[in-house]
Formats: sequence, C-alpha cells, structure tokens
Amino acid sequence: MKGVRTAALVALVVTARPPDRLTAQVSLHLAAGVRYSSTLVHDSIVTPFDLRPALAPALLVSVRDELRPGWSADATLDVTPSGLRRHETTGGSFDAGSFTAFAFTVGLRRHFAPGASARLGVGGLRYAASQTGVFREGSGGIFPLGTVAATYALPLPFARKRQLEVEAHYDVHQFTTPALRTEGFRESRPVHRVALLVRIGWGGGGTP
Amino acid sequence: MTRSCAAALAGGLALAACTDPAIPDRGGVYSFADTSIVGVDTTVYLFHWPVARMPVRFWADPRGNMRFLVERAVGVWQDQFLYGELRGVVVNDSGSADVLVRWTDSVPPDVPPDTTPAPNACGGVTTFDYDSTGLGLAGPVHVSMTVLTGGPPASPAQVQACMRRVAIHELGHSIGLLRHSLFDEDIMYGSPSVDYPSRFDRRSAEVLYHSTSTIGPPPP
Repeated sequence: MKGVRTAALVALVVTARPPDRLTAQVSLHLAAGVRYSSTLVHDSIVTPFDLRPALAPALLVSVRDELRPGWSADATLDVTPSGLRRHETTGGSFDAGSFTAFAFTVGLRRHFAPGASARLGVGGLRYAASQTGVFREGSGGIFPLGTVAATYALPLPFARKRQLEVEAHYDVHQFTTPALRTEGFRESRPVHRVALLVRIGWGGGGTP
Repeated sequence: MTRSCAAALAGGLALAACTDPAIPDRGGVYSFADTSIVGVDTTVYLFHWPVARMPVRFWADPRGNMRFLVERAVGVWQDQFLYGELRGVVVNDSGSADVLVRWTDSVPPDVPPDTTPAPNACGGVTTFDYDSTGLGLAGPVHVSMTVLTGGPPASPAQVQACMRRVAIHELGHSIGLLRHSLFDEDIMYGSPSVDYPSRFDRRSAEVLYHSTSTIGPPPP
C-alpha cells in the first residue's frame, strides 16, 4: 500500500505540468537527486550498531515567488522513499525495513552572485512506514526541520531557458519514535541529510 | 532582521547537531541458552535463525484455527524486534518449512477466547532434532500443541485463550528461546499465564538475536 502511494506520488510529480500562465513573479520548480542520511538510531545489544537509511532518491516540488530583486520565497514539498539498514560495527549490513520521508518547508532565497543563490528554510518532516520495527508504535509525528541549500544556475543557453540549476541541500531534524521511547531511549537524535539535486523550473523571471 | 533570523536558524541547527541520546539499559534478560554438562565439559546450546534464513518459514496444521494461532504468534514475536532481526512467514508446503506446528491429537473448537484462568487447559512441546555432530539441526523444528484433559474442566473458550498463550510460548522456543523464564510475568515462564511477551521476554529475544549461535540451522 505504501509502495502504491509512493508510486502515485512519483507519477503525479513526473506528469505534473505547470499552469499555462504563471504570475510573472511566480515559478514552479521540480528537483530530483540522491540523498544521504545520517544514523537514525545508535544502539548496542551485545555489540554496537547503527540504523541508517540507505542512499535514496529525493524528489522536490517548489513554488517560488520573487519578493524583490535578488530575493525570493518558496514553499517546498520534499519526498524521499528509502530502505533502512542495520550496520553492525563488527561488519555486515542487514535489511531493517523501509519508509518514506515527507518534508514541507518554507524558505527564503538570496541571489548573491550571477547564477548563485542560497536558501534558508524551516518546516516539518514526517516518516511514513508500516508499523514494524522502530515504527511499530507509530512514526513519532512531525519533526521540526531546518534546511540550508546552495544553488547554481548553469551558464548555458539551454540551462537558462529551462531554469536548470544544481543544488546542494542540507537539512537536520531530531528523530525518535514511540517504540524507541518504550525501549528506553529518552532523548531524540539529530539526523542530518544531504542531497545533491538537479532542478528545472517554469515561469517567473528566470535565474539572475 | 534577515541576518538575525539566519543566525538563529544556524544556532538551532548547531544545537540540534550536538546531542546524542544515551543507549538504554537492557537489564533483566533471562537465560535462553541450554547447557549440558558431561564430566568437566559444559556445552552451551545457543540457537537463533540466521539472517540468511529470513524469513523463517512456519507451517501450520491445516485443521482448526492453527494457521491463525501461528500467524498471530509469528506476528507477536516479529513485533518484539526493533531492527528487523526476525521475520517469519506461514507457508503452505510442510516440506519447505523450518518450523512445523501440529495438533498432537484432538483439535479444539474455534471459538472466541475466554481469558478467565483455567490451569492446565492446554500444553505444548517444542523439539529440536540435532545432527550427529550435535552442533547443527538435522531438520525442521517440531511444535506440538495439545488439549489437556487431566486437570479441572475448561470451557472451549478457555482452551482457545490457553492456545493463544501457548502458541506464542512454543514459537518462542522455536526461534531460539530454549529455556524457561523463572518469572510468571514472562510468556516464556514454564506455565505461561500472561497473554503477550513481557519487556524481559523482548530483551531476551533481542540479546539472543545479537549473540553468536553455537548451533547451526537445518539444511535448507
């Protein structure tokens, strides 16, 4: 069921088409890439091990509005379906389930050099997973999320036309679940995520 | 204003990056390994299903509600683990199963359970067949479940409640909890009276699946 939902979302993103007329200052952006995530849980039962998401695809949809020259604001939906792996410190890596992480952020972007911009954002992240393993008692709700990104618009005619950009994206949130609390984990753990993305846009005034 | 917001966000990110939660204490694990003492030598029999054999394949006697009992017990044990250490599936072919669960003789009626205590309403036995080396299993694990008739009379509903407890208990043996707990709050107590594994059952199963087996699984 989760796979169907993910597939439907991916299909929606892939087949999405921007409106024929966007307001002059508003643009739609789709981004895809790959994401690394740090350890969700560090535990020790006989020997230490980490529970960590596998390298996973990242899909982002943003609506961006130019506030004034050099500044823009945006709202972004960020989706990452990922496998979970248990990494033993003594060697070995084992399947430990899967999840899809949904993040929604609002951000402020500053264009500080030709083609280059940086973004700061805040929002929330939710894990969607079947009720097994660390998610057996639920996903833990929505975690506050902070994010920074650096974007570079490729200085090529085709890239300008398609508003093609490459982006390095970082975010951090605190992770825990009810099952982990039941197990005795009293605090949450910071989870750092890094994504490398290629972004394409429609509408707006283009990248300065 | 923008700079102060950025500084606040950066500070928040830095703060978030600093903490690392303490690993919980997992005291209260009971002895799950079997031992045999011959002369001065002590042999430890520690068994769990290896990662390469996941999911463990359970076959349930097709009579009565045995399949339901086995599926339920498999789910209960899977749910004890946080990190995917154990996965089980009920299969239709007994020839390909790792664990065979049968009625010993009579099949109890499938009625809603009554949890009013009824001592000795049912029982179960789990048997491991060791190969000639004594260091590996020769074949599938056998579990037998029985309606007991020697004690005070129990209603069919009380027998069903007993079967649910005993199915979890016996499948606990089949996944490697070879010994009984000494405490009646645990499902692995010799005569289980609780309906689900306790936190000590869970911790014991977790420690078992992170320990090194001394007994190999049966040939696939």
